[in-house]
Amino acid sequence: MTAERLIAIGTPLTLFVFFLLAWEWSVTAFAVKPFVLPAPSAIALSLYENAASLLASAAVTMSLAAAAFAIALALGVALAVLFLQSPVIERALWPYAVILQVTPIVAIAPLIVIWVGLERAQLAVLILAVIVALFPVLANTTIGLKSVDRNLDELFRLHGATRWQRLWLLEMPSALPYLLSGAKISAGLALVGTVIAEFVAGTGGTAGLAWRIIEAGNRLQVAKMFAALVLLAALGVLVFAIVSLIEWWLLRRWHESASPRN
Amino acid sequence: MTALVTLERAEKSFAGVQIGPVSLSVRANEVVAILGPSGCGKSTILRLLAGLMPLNAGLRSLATPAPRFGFVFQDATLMPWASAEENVALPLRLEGAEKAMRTERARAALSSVGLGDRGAALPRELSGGMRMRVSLARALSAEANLLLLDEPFAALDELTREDLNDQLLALFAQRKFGAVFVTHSVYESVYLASRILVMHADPGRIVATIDNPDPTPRPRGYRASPDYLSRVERVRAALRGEPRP
Ligand SMILES: Nc1ncnc2c1ncn2[C@@H]1O[C@H](COP(=O)(O)OP(=O)(O)OP(=O)(O)O)[C@@H](O)[C@H]1O
Ligand SMILES: [Mg+2]
Repeated sequence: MTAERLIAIGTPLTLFVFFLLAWEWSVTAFAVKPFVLPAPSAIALSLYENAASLLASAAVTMSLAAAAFAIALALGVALAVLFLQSPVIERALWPYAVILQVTPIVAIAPLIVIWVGLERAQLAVLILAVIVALFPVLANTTIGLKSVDRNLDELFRLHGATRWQRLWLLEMPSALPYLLSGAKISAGLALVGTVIAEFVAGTGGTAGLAWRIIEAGNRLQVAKMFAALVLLAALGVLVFAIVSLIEWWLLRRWHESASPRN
Repeated sequence: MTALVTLERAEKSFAGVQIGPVSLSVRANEVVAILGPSGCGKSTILRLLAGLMPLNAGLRSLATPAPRFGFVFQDATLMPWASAEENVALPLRLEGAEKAMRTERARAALSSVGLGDRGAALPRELSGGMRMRVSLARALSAEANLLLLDEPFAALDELTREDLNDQLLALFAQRKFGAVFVTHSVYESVYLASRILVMHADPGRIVATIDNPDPTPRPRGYRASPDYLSRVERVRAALRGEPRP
């Protein structure tokens, strides 16, 4: 390992350890009450003690978020392709996509929960998460499909390409980098949307991480709240890392964004 | 010999730029060179010939059956996600040729431009000149009978350029096709073409047509012959706008 790499990895790591130590120290030194701010060691302990229930909840949240992401991805790409075929449809549907995007999800959530029914809270959560995650994929893919190189476009026309050939051989590959950077945002939003929806669905809704946080909050088990939060953050980072990895893998050979500079 | 494509008093205007009226027809056994200052409308005329943009005025007519076009753009215009070989095979693929045949033709076309061993390379792994040669191979692979070439050799070194010039002439002797190519090299235009069109700008128009009836393929020593040199001088004079010597 070169000195440069050591510094690149070591610096943020050292800072993080220092941060944890300072936190631990000040909680003891200033006698902060554990239900206001628990020490990192207490959070770690709680994470360990409640591992079984927390991980089970994390699995519930994660699988809902993954399903929402997959649906948003498929729906977003399908809609973008539809928009490309027909500008009229695009103009007719685009405003709804924008409205869904700018309306705060917590404001729609109770409605959706009522419509779908509390007994099917999981479905409501899924729908809400899809609504949140849809827009970045849709917007990016829509732009990507239109950013085809003009000369390549002419070449395809010159050789009499069919609609399908254009879509698969030209428009989709051109849109891929855009689609993937939209997907990276959507993946994170799917998780955020799932947790928000779980919060709104509340009691008896789902057994996801949000519910663990509410439960622990009601009992003033602040360390457990933090433990759930740590898991949630870890999930978020994991999701982002996975999608980034897929992006890199798909683009590494030909796209500037994924190729090393030297 | 009937014309493959004809433009009659064709005009095209962009915001503030007028090109034409231009009349031009290309037959199946001639190589036409277009020379002129940057921005005079050479690329635009190629696009009009190919039918890639509508005319503002005038007529475009095609032979029946319609010619098979091969187009080399001023930039290599390759699909960055596809290998050189896939890029070359694209026109055949769009026409629905089967894979084995596509691959075979693409390989042959790549070899003919000296890139037989780089078929698997992606465009970003090739140099600018190599990319341009891939683009040339793509135009050749589809067995076009009307080649439109926009400064196809501009990015190449002198020797490769002369090699490809000779290859084009050899190919031309084998398969009678029509070709229109844009170049900034007076020498190249006289060496390759049977007809040379000189353009001026504002508005973009053809100011001189210089025929070169010397038979092709032209011998090695052609570049030193008095005929060649006197034509070079005439093209030069037309470019400068001087009266014919
Ligand atoms: N799509 C377009 N939109 C607007 N203006 C254009 C377009 N294409 C060409 N032009 C204009 O038309 C004129 C001729 O362009 P063209 O590309 O045909 O020139 P050219 O003779 O090929 O020049 P060069 O030798 O630099 O390649 C230029 O002034 C250019 O700005
Ligand atoms: Mg040009």
